[in-house]
Amino acid sequence: MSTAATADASSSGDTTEGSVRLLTLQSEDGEVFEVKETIATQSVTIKGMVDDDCATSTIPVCNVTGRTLAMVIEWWNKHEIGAVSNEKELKEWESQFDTIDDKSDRDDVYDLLMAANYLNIPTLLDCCTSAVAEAIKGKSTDEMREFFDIKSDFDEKEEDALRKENQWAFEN
Amino acid sequence: MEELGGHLSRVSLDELKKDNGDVSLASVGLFFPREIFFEILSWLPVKYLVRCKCVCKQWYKLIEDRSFIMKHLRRSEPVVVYFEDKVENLDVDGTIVPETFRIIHVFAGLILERGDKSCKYRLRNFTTQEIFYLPNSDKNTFILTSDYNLSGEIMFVSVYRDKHTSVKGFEVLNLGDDKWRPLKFPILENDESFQWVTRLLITTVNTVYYIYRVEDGSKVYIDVYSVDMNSGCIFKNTLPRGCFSDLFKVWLFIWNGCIAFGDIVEEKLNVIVLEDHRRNKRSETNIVIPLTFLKENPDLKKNIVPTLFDHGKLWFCSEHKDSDQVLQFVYNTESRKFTQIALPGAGAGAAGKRSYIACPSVVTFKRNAIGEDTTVIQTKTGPVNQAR
Repeated sequence: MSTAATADASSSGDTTEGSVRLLTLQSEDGEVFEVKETIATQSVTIKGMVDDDCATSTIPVCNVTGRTLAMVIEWWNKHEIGAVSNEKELKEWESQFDTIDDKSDRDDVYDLLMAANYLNIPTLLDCCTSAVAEAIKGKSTDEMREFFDIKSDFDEKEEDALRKENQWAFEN
Repeated sequence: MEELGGHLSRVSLDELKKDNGDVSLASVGLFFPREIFFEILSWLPVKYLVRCKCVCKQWYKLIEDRSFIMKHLRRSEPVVVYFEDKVENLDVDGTIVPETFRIIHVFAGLILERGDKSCKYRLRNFTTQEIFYLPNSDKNTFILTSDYNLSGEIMFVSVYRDKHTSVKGFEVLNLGDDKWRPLKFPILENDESFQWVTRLLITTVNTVYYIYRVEDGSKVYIDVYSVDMNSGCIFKNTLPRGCFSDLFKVWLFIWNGCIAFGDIVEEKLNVIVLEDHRRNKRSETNIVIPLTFLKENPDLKKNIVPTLFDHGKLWFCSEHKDSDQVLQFVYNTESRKFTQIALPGAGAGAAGKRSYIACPSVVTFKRNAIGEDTTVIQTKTGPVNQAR
């Protein structure tokens, strides 16, 4: 998964009149990013702050590392309204989230997922959660527990009864 | 420095604890809070969700939750479901009788069926095969419909008549109840005080609508009388002139449980929804839905009729005049996926196999089986013809 940080504010041709406002975001580990307000407001949380006039100084994005925040900003840039004219290209770029078999991909998606939840970015959250759903499709209950590190709190009898009741769902 | 909103503590484990009092935190090892699992699981097909119920108690409760069922239904992509008529043994008051059930209504992953001989009605989840038999009514039902009501409960409405043809009254039933309740409100019938041309009775689980298209000289307008099921009050709304270019080309359909009017102009569906009949409230502006699939299927454009908007999906049918076939198709306005099937036309006979497009749902109800205690009808979900 690409992690290229393109928190670029000046190079893209500003078509709007006057200067585009920049927001300063600071990650948990102290990395600072300058992002166009029009892009960062894809986050409902940040939009709320801008609307309430609370985004004038540096915005701390705790719980999100610089590495993850860079990925989030890449997502914003790709999904800025009017930024990508070619929908096919966007789909191709998004498809990198489809396979999360290897562990580092999985960690990236988990980090992005938590960031999307924290910053409230619905499109990114949908993309990450459906990627995880795709990865657990067809897994057995034990495999799912292992995948998410969940311990069953059903006792043996309860689980047997549940399985028996829904036997059709356990046949392949 | 300002903190990024206090509500962000929603990612904390405290919330998890609060929501699921009896789930030990140790059972969810990963840092994902309930709401993230809610999002992830809502993308899964019903079969895997039923499996997921056995993973841990938190997941079990989450998947049974009404708001989860609704979220899942929004994301559920339509599938083509094939049904085959089959004779089954039904226990009617201690006597076993052979019976064949026929489909009368399909909604939200559920199927309402009626027994040919016994006139017994039942509700079936076609994916999980759970069945609920409705209690008998001593009235002469001629329309029976079912849906989620405003509070998200499954409800049934029966319109009954006497030996002649006129509507006599209405009865309602909540899923799980053992008795029908009569609705006491006036029946608008044979009102000759004005000159209507077309009259329709449409009932949802919240409201009974009487729709009149009136021609008064050169003026044409549409009057809607809504009878609120909770209060029995009648409200009148007139569809203002000028909303649509031609009132004769306006389709009437159900839109999230309300009545809606729409026409299709240049690959766009324009809709006015009567959102709150009590306050004469219509949707603020016309809702416009671009029907992108019409660009790829231009031959559909001619006879396309919107029939329902529900859980983010638009349902259409289209009659092929030459081939005695009815096309049914569903457009998911969120994922923009398009599903279609050809149904046999009215002339094709009632027996044999039938297919429908329906959205699988994980909604569950207690069985009250009076038939065979096994899976009753073979249902197969077939390949889905999807463009885009």
